[in-house]
Amino acid sequence: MKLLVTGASGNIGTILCNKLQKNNIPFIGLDVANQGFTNDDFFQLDITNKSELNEKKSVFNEVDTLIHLASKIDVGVDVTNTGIESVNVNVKGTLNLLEYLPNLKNILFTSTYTVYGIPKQNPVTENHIQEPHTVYGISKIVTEKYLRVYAQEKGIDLTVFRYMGIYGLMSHYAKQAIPIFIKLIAAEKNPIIYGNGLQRRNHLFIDDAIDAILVWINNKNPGIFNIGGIDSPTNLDLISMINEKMNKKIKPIFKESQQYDFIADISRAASVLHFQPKTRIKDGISKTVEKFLG
Amino acid sequence: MTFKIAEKNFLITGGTGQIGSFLTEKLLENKANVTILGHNSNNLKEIKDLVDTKKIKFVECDLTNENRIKTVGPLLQNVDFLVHLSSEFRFPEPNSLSSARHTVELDIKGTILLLQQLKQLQGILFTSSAAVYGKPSYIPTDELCSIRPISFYGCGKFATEKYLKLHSNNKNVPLTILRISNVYGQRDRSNQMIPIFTRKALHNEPIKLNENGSRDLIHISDVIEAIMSAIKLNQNNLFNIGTGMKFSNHFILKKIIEITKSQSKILRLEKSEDYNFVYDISKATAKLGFNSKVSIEKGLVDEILWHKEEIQKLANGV
Repeated sequence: MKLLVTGASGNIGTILCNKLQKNNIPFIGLDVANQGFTNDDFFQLDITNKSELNEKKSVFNEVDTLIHLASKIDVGVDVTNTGIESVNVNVKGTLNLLEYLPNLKNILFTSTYTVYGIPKQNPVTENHIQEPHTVYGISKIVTEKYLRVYAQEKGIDLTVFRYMGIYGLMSHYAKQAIPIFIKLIAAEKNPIIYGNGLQRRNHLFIDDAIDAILVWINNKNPGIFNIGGIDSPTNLDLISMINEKMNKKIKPIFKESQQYDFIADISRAASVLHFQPKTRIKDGISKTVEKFLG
Repeated sequence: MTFKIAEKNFLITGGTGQIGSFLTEKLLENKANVTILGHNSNNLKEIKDLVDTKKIKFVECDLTNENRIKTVGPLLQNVDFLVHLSSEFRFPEPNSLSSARHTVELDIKGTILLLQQLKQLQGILFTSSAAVYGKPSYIPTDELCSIRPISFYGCGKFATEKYLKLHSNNKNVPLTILRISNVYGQRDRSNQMIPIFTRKALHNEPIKLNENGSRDLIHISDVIEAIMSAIKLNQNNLFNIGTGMKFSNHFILKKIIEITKSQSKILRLEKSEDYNFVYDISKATAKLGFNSKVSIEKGLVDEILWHKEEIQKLANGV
């Protein structure tokens, strides 16, 4: 296996690459940014730039397994504002990459639960209707469809992970509930809850997100899989867990907003991919708080 | 409340094509102002006279050309209603990466770049395709069938639907999506089954037949009727547009041979793919009052006559 990881300097990529090194799994990494990566097989290049890809042509020629994490995230809802950039990186960037990887046999593409939009029913299975309401969600479902046609055409095994919101990273996820709650409660400021605090999500702990990839590297089972956590806490549950861990009693402020439960059905990943998350929400929150406090 | 078409400014992308040219004529009958966006002013075909006599405006713009779209933007400031027909079907290698790239440039980015210029829209109609369903998981296929395109053409149409939908939600502009089945009739210059059969039949050339196939063929004038009803309704809607009737390839060829009194030999394809398709159009019937009116016999007679005239024109060097 000659493995390429794109988005190697990203939130998930950095952790994945460290884990691969630790487990002695050889790979090459690629990212537009280099955040202190020291692997000789790391290439800093932009997948929207074909000439940069072309320079590494001979290296990519040998790649037979792709883990495609590289993506533009968090780009709002105004198509006319961020649509082009999102398409350039996520959709066109993927096609560029495929052009320079002529010998692929297996692809893992990381997508998102936001491809479904607001659930018609919970839990949400993989064949739930796809009506994303963000520019990011659309770029992911569109890329999925292009990859599927390409994989069928070339006889490549394609696996898609539709990740739930991942927590346990303290970095860039500025809009995600858990890191925001932790930061505010640590600063003894009241976290804002949109809605009544009772909406549920089976948030995914980063270690489980990485584990799912490691399981895939071993069996490469194709298909589309929801990858989510075990527990589906409400936002109020999260706040009380964070308070408890930090020995604080900060109360939230409620702001009126549309709210809905999103519970991804993860049984398909269990039966077909043989992946099951291990981290209970309490442990995940506890670890995340510890990481935050350093 | 219906959308008043008279005096409104319509922009039609892909306006020189089969649907575009007929729709232009229909909108003019309804006293609309029509601007056509097309990539080649030297190939206006049926709408040339309308442009020459200034009954409609033509804006030359290739939707894959970002700079050009920005340049012509000021000409599109007053557009009230966008009819987005533009698409490319005739790829030499439909499922090659270069075709994929082309659908991203034209369908996805072209649509977004165009939306950036249209700031006062009151409605959008987009002609999508049955290709978004791929090989449908069931027939007759209704709008709830799962989306599994098996071609990059289908991916491009699916993507355009999604980006338009988000824009429509965000800006509060009603969006109608019509997933149209196989269109036939006059001005069909495509390389689809009926034009190919007809040209060969008229020249008494041998015709290759895929016996296992059948499709839902809809006549161009029925398509125009569906589009006009949808514009008048101007609500957020998604409709499958076809006849709801399944015509086998064999039946179509037999009819064409009969009408043209052709001597063509029929070559039955050994390795033919089994593609059977028919729409369930009950949603369009209920909400748009849509039903196909043109019988396949009448439709084929019309189309064959048109092809004859085209061949004659070509022979006369017109």
